[in-house]
Amino acid sequence: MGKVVNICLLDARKATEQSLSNITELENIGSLIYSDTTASLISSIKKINIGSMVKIDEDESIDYMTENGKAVIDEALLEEVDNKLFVLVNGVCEIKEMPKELFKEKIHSMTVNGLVICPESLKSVVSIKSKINGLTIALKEGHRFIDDTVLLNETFIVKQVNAKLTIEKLVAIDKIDEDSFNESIEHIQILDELVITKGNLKILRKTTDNLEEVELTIVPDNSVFKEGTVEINSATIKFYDGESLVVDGKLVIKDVAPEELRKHITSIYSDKVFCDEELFETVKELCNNSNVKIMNNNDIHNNGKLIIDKNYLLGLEGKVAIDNNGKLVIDESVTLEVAKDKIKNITNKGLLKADTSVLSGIPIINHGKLSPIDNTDEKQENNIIYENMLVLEL
Amino acid sequence: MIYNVYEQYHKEFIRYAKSLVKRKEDAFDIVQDAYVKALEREEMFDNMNDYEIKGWFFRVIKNTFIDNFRKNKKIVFCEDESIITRETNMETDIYFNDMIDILPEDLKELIKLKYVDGLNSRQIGELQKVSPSTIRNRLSLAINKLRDGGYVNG
Repeated sequence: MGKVVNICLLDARKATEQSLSNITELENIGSLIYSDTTASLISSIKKINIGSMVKIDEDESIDYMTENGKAVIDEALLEEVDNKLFVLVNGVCEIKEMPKELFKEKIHSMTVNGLVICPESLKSVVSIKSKINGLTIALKEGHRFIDDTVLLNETFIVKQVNAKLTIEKLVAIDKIDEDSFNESIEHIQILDELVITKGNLKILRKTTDNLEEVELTIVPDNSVFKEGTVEINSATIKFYDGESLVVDGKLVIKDVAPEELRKHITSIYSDKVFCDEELFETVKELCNNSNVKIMNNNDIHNNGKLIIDKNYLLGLEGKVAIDNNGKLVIDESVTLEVAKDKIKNITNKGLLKADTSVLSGIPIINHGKLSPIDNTDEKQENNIIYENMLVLEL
Repeated sequence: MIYNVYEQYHKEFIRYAKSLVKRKEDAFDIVQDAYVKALEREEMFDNMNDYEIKGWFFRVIKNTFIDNFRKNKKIVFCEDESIITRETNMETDIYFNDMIDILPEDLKELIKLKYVDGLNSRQIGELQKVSPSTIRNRLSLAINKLRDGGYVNG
């Protein structure tokens, strides 16, 4: 008895009772293809995380196209295909403009785990033929998709010629010259988010038609935009001169006097702001009371995988608060006594593994999953029959 | 590896989750749930490349959404032809489309004609050139299949 694991495309149309006799579980299969005949055979097998199940007659000739990354489907490709095409993409599937009939005729079906970009004219036929676990972007005629945050400034504008753009996130806080903008950009469709000054909003209104659908943040005219993790401290604060700070990422403010901070930064726009305890009230005011967290030097923030042992905890000065968004393992060397002595509290939004006495003996605010350390977990052997294959025919 | 993929594509995952649910907070919860599921099985990703892991996240985000939906709000089909009880919001639409995927093509089409297009058994019968009673029997068969699959109340 065994499992079939991590197969991109599993074709079980010609499976028999005998070929399936040892298989009790199918796990993590991109697409499972079956036929009328094999439907009942595979129905009794346990299935976990199957991207799509597609029925195709066993005598129907099908070509497979599997892609981990970016797949482009265009007219030239489909004209070269003899049989109908079954497409499986993990990543981005871009479908170019082509006659609808050709797509209907040549594509059997598609499974996309990720993003589909297609012309608006093909949207309906693509949706009928596809199982999409992810977003579909239907481009208006003549539009070009930019899969990134766009900073709308003079450099960007001068590169465009009568451009029609579809953009995920647009940041328009540099002063825009209206004439130059109107000459270069014909139309903008924003899919997700717009950060813009009031002045620029007046200019963009004329070329952007879906403002009511986007997440809109209007910021003061003298704003500065930063991406990633930004740290403001006694050295870096001097680079700001009374601006508003817009951060797409994480903002950390420390070692700055509250009055110094107010002098250099007039307001803050960011979803993730961390600061020293003494700056908390000032930062909250600057952020218009949005989500601000106090950060102590001793605190541990984990977003990945962290294993804490007794020696590590004993080496710490004082107690720590732990904020876990990833996988945190407090190993068996940490007794309840040590944990109580060194851990102030744990806020868990991820996976926390520890001895049961530790889990029940220290303060935990849990929004994630708690799990006792169980040595037998690691030792369990899975009888895997097939694993990690792009295409498997059973 | 999963940590890097999660960090790198977090915004895309959130954006997709936001397209499934109305509240931004719910979108964050769904993505975090998917991440916890990944962390529980991190050895599974050892032989996957970044795109496969990313694809896994998209599948699990959708499945988590469907699981939550199924737990909280099962669809009630009313077999009385005059009443369509399916709610018309986006979340239900996604759930509905996924749900009817378990049906054979002919029954899937029948359910769409009745509950999406709002046709009655006589109208569907005229389209498919069979009697209304045959349509009613086949609708009943489809609903029983959905009931067996745990998708439908009652």
